[in-house]
Amino acid sequence: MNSTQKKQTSSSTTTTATATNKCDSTFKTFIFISLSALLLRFVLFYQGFHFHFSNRNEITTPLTNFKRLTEGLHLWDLGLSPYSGSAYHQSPLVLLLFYPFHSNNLSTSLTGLPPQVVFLVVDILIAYLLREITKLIPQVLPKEMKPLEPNSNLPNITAALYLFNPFSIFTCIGMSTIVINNAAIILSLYYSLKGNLFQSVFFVALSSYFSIYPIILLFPVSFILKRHYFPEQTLNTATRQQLSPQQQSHLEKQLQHSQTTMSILFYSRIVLFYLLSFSSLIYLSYTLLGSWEFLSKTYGFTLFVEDLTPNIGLFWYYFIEVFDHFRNFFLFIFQYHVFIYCIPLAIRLKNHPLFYFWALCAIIATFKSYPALGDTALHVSLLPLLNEPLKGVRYSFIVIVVAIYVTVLAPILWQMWIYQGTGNANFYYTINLVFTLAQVLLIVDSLSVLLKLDYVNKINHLEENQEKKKIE
Amino acid sequence: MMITTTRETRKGKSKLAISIATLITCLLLLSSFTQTTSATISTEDDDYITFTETQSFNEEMIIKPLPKGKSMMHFQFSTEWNSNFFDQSTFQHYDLFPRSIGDLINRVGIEEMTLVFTKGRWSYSEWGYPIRASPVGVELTAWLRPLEKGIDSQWRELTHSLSGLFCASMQFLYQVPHHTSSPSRSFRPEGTSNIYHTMERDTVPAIELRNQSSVIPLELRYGILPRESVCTENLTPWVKLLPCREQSGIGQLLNPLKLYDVHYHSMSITVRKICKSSNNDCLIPTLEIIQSLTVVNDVSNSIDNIDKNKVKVALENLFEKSTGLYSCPLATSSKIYVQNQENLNTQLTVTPTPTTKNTRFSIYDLKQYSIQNPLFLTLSWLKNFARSGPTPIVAHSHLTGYGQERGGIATQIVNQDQHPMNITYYHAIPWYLRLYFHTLRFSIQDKEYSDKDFIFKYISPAETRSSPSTIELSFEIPGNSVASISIDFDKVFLHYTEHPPDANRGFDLGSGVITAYIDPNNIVPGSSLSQDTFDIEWSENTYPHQKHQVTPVRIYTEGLLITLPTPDFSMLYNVITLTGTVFALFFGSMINILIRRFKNTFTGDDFVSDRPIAKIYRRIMKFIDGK
Amino acid sequence: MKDSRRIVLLSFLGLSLYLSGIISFYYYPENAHQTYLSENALMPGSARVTFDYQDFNKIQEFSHTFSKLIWRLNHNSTLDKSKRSIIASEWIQKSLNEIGIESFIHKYPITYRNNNSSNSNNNNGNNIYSVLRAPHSDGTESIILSGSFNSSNSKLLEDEEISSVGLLMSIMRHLYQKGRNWLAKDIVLLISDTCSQSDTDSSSHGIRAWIDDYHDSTLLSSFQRNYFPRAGQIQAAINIDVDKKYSPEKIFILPEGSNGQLPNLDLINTIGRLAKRESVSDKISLSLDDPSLHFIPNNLRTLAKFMLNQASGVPTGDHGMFNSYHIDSVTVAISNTPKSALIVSRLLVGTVRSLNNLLERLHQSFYYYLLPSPFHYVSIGEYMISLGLIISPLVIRVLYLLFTLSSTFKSPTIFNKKSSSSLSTSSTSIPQEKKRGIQKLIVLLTGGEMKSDDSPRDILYSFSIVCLFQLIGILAFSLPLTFSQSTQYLLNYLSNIGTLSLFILFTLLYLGIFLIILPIIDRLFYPNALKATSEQSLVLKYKGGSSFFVFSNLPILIFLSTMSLLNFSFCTFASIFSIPLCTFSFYQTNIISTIDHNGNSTSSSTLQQQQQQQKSSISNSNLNRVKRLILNVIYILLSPPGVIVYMSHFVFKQDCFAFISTIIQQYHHYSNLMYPFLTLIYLPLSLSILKSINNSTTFSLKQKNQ
Repeated sequence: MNSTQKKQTSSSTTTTATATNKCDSTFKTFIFISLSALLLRFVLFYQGFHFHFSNRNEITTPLTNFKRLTEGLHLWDLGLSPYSGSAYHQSPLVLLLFYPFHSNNLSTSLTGLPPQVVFLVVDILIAYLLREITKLIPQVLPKEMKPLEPNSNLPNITAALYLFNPFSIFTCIGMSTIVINNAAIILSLYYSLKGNLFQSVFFVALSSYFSIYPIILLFPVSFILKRHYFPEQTLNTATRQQLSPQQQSHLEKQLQHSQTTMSILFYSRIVLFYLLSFSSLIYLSYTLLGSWEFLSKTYGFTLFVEDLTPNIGLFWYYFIEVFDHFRNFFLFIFQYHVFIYCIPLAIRLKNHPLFYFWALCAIIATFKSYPALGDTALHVSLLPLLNEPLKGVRYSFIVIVVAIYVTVLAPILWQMWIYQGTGNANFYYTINLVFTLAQVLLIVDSLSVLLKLDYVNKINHLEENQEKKKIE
Repeated sequence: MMITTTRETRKGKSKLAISIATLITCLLLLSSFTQTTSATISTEDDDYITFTETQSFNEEMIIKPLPKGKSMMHFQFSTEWNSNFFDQSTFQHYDLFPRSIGDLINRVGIEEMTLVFTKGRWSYSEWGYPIRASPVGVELTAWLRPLEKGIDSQWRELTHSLSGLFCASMQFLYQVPHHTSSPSRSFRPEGTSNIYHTMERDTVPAIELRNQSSVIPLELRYGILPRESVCTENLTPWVKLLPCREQSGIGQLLNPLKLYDVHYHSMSITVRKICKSSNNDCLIPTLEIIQSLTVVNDVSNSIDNIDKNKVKVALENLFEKSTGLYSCPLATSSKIYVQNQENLNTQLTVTPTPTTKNTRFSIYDLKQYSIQNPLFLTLSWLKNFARSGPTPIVAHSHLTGYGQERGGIATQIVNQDQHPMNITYYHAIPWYLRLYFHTLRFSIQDKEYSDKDFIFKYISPAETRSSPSTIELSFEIPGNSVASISIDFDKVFLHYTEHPPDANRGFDLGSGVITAYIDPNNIVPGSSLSQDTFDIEWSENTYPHQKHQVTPVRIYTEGLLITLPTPDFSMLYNVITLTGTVFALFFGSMINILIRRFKNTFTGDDFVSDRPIAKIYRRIMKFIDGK
Repeated sequence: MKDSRRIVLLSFLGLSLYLSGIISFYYYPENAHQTYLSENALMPGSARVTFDYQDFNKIQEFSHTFSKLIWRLNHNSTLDKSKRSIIASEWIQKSLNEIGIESFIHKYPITYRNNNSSNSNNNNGNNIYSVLRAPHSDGTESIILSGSFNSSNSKLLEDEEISSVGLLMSIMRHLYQKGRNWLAKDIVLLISDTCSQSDTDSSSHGIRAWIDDYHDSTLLSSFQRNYFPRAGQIQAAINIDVDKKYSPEKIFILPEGSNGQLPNLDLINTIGRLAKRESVSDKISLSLDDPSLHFIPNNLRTLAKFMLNQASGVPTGDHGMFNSYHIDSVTVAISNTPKSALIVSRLLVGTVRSLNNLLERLHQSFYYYLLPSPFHYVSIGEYMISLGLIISPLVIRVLYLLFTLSSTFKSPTIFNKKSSSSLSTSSTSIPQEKKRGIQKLIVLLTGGEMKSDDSPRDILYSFSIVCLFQLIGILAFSLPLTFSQSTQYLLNYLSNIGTLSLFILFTLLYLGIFLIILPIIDRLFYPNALKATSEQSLVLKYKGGSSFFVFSNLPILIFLSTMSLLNFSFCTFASIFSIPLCTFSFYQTNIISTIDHNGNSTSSSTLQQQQQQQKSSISNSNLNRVKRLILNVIYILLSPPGVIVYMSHFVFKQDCFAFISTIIQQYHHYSNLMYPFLTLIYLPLSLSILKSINNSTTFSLKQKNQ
């Protein structure tokens, strides 16, 4: 409780006793939400849904499957390399994380707890972070969100939308280790909003250590951090008026002078931190296993798509069907394709780092080599943060309906192909296409809307000024 | 000291070889029977080695009545070669010993090799144990002495040349690596030559080279091709290896038409080094090649049958050889053994009367017969006679679960003997079944056991597209109990080129190997075990048994057929184009949005198109809306 | 009002599409394609079938000795049911062993999968099964011949009559003797005893138990410790049913499996081709024809029966058990006359032989087809069209509203005139062709501009209501499955009370929802709805409709369009039944709400409105109250309890609670769609329809109180 009070005092500059009380009330509602979410998940676990969900290949991929993780732990127990036998492909630290919860047929786990606990905790953590993020955004990025009145429900709504989003529920019940990756990403966003450079960069490194792709999140994170380290840039008229003119001119000079050198220093610092933490993580896992085998088994496995198990992405069927001698070429193209967007987006969206962050998450979720619903859940749960700019998205309902259809239809088509043998692979592949198209539609549409909004606002601003001039 | 002597011998031997060759050739002309030459290498030092160059050929055949009107016939042709194999030039002169094999032995460094072609199933529960058990398809077991060229290239050479030799696709054992594995305990060298290994099955078999007092551990390569279909094109080269082909002797009976219209057909060739009792320290091993052929054919409705519940078989009719049997002239010994299981009432009657008859066999010595008076053997026995007790160890395996996503393999080993037995289970499962070793369940009589209870447990997970995953378990199974092993797997989704041409039939899985180490003290005389395994003693020089030593009995589980999820093989271009389209769509639209510059064009009210089609729309809508 | 006019047009369009969809079924029979054999390896009839009179006499011999045995057993009072069945099974086992085929008895507990079993007698049933090992094969593939007998049916066969046991045994004998030259796959004979099974589910228990044990990981059968040999991968199964009830001059091929799953069309084709070869193709028939339907042309009747069987989801024979294990299976049914017996056994031997030729398992031909006759098929590409037509009214309506809803949120701008411009520029952003296509559609539907009158609050409100109803549905679906025993008990208890109790139950539910829960939610969302002064309440009454309609109809739309892949016929019938309700309800709500708008405005305390609309409003409100009453009556009659009662009484001819327990049990065994549809889809739908009708009733009643 008092921890939240701290958060309040730290975050919101205008906190009075009443305000804290109010936010306590919102915190109570948050506790209620999270408890109910926990209850729901607990019931689902108790009913044994995780046996079904953890085998669904829309929910878990070769990189996040819990059964494979168990296999890795088991082999580790036996003294073999966890990567021997191409079952386990996750990072060594995941192994370390779940080792205390591993129980085989003769001994119970070290902690005596079932591994489900981890997933519950992580989900709640993510929800809490999202809540805090929603509180932070208006202060750091006023463009993205209007400052919310002290007892607004938006933070709780964001948390609830994550906790009760079917995709995230599936992912949690399916015990897909992607949630850990998601938690790292959310943490990096959180810390970057709080302005802690090292933590945020570290968590970017951590997430990119779990799955390569989030490395491109370094850009938006650094943009957000820049807001903290160069507050002068975000000087708005309000603060201007408080300062006396000579102070202003002095400030301006300082800005002009320090701008370039400062930013160079800043970016180099971020890169340095990133490299430092990433390499330390790699070395840690090397010391854990005592061999560099894991590099090829995790990152190699991700980049050269070795496992063609179907998922909701486009890679598997393509690389089942593609001709051998073009395989490497297309591998390069497809993997490269994920990364190419970060630079142009950075140029176009430098004023909207949060949206930039979201867009990159969405692109990763759509075009990574082993996507699952967990990735989608991440960027969907970020959407409410952007509700202000994205009001005008036209096909939101269409996208939602398509998503529902896919989630219903995919298991049926899978059943028809794999179990009844009455369908074939094309059925399932079609659904993947549709799902990808829906996500593409979402990304493209929201991006265009945002840019348009930017433009409209600019025009409005100009006209405002003109009218002001007229008035004067 | 040793080294010098060997060098001396080497020097001396080129001359010797030539002399041997001349001797052999002239002797060949003289006599068609066994050749024996002796040569002596003497060095400056007084220690010398005597090489007796002998090559001999024995042919035997065993006939065993089986219940339900079936009969087992086991042909066995063994050629021995006693010579100085330290000398390379030895492998340039052959007479009885097949040259192709000899070359192979020399080139690849084979210490011991067994190659078995099998078609059909041996039903252990019904027929007891065969003289040489074998899995379905082709099985190749080779103990290789490491040479300079490296064990893999040796293996490669072996498989390729064998496939050339026997018109079979053995080269896949090398080319498709997941067929090959090397079990550590299930297989032991059969030959009792100077291969040092103990019956505690932990030590790796090794060979001691006397000349450079060093011990070289042998490499075992074991491969199964379950898909291989065995037919006459494999038989013909096999027959060609025999000294007197199918012209005379027992070889006459090898009539392909008949040999393949049977319930079980197993054709094997074994190369090994044994020790003759002459020099017990086995300084010079004897090279032996055994070609054996086992067929089980249903004689219940053969033409000779008169009354319903008796079976009457005449060999010449069974194999359609009107000319009767007589010995092969090159053979040292040529015998036919008819097994008269006296403890069962088979009411076996044989005509004519056998030359010799002991408790177990009635033996015909074909040396007694000739082209003038050949042997016309006729047997008859009771159609459905009861076997004496169940077969002690029987094993079955099957696939569990359904659907093409995941499944499991379950193996059950039944011990129907009242004594506990020591079992080793070995199974090599190709990589396209991703085993989950944490799901490995082992239970005896529904009592779950954990890893600790194994005498020996070795698992090695598969590597994708390279090696199979192998399980090898040793445990003691109590009397009259069932041990069941089960493990789950995921079916891997394969690239479309990795599927076989008939993809929807599925993949064949090799059978598991069960080696039961039976303590001879436990064997009740007259029990089926003694009947089936121990009457191998009929042949003196093959399968010699060390008395009071645990004898391995090897049996195989059924072959399995597993279907993997198949892609649509006609979709290649569609998939490529469709996926490409989606990527292009996203890329294009992103580019479009990112490079667009907005212009303040649309000031004022909505954009109204003046295209005729739009006008028409508006008119229609006006009509509909009734304005 | 242009809105209502547009709706009239749309509903007219929808109606025409709907009717055309239904009519289109009439044209399928004569436009159906000729079936063809696409798996070349089958080669039906390439070899002469050697099944001759000697074997036929064996059929007679076996069946008569067996029936005599059973007769004797049944007239021996000392033996109880299980004992009888054991003796009978042992006789079959013994005689098969004498023929020379290894055969075994598989015991299984009779309370097997019988989750809601009133009779918990744990005597066990017996299957006899024997494996004919093909001499030349390595035993990795096998074909199943299955049949069943009833050891407690005491009547003796008349001479010349034959039983399925005799038929199967003599076929096996024939295969064992003549087949050793060509058999490449093991033949598994499976005969199950139906004696001690309850009548609600047929002999399927025995076969299901066997097939489950077969794929189980134990060597010994899970229930009883006897050796359970396997025969590799089962590739096809043919079930034989010999019974008096089938007409003697016909041979029936019954393909419909559990939940309407069908075998590969090649399997049916093979039998058909063989029948042609035996020149009995005219005898082949797909369904038992009942005289009541003779006014319909033959092919259409067959098609209708086929679709009905498929829709019911209950397999037409024991072959249905094999579907879930990806085994293509079909039931061949004949009467017990000797003539048809000979033909059928020749057919079966021929079929076994051509299945034996298969290199791969059946995968070439269709799995989704409708059969108007044994030699004609309608493929999925054609029949899906008519389903599409039938559900199109709903689709059109929902799409129309979805697009209007999408325009609920507008991007905020300062100068209003800019907003429109920003929108129109947005339409030029990338998914060009998509957007333009969609826009055309929109223009077509809505005439240029799309305006939704729902505020986000409305959307949230209707969404939450629909979620609530769905939750109720999910509970109704899952509770009976989780607490099956207590459900059974409850059903038995209620059935003693009588049908009325069902209605009481549902009325309680409805009252609870409509008088307690919904008002609470209303209060939550529209805090000042009770004081009928604010616009909010009007918004609720008037405009809540469209978004509510969308959300309440999405589930059924999704269900029908997705499940039609699994069980086309069921979805067709369900849509024929339920689509009119949905669309009609929407139409109604709009009319009512428009009238109600006037009605409400009397309540609003502002003077001028009162003066304007007093008279008209009163008359209107009276009139539409009557209207609403009628509507309520109709929809309550069509609500789940009503439907259940009709079906139980007129279709299934049994007590409605028995009917409920039956469909639950069927869902257990065959996973057919009736139970899920009723609970998960139809119950929430009817609730939401009732709500959308009574949206304003509650309100106007309040009027009277004031």
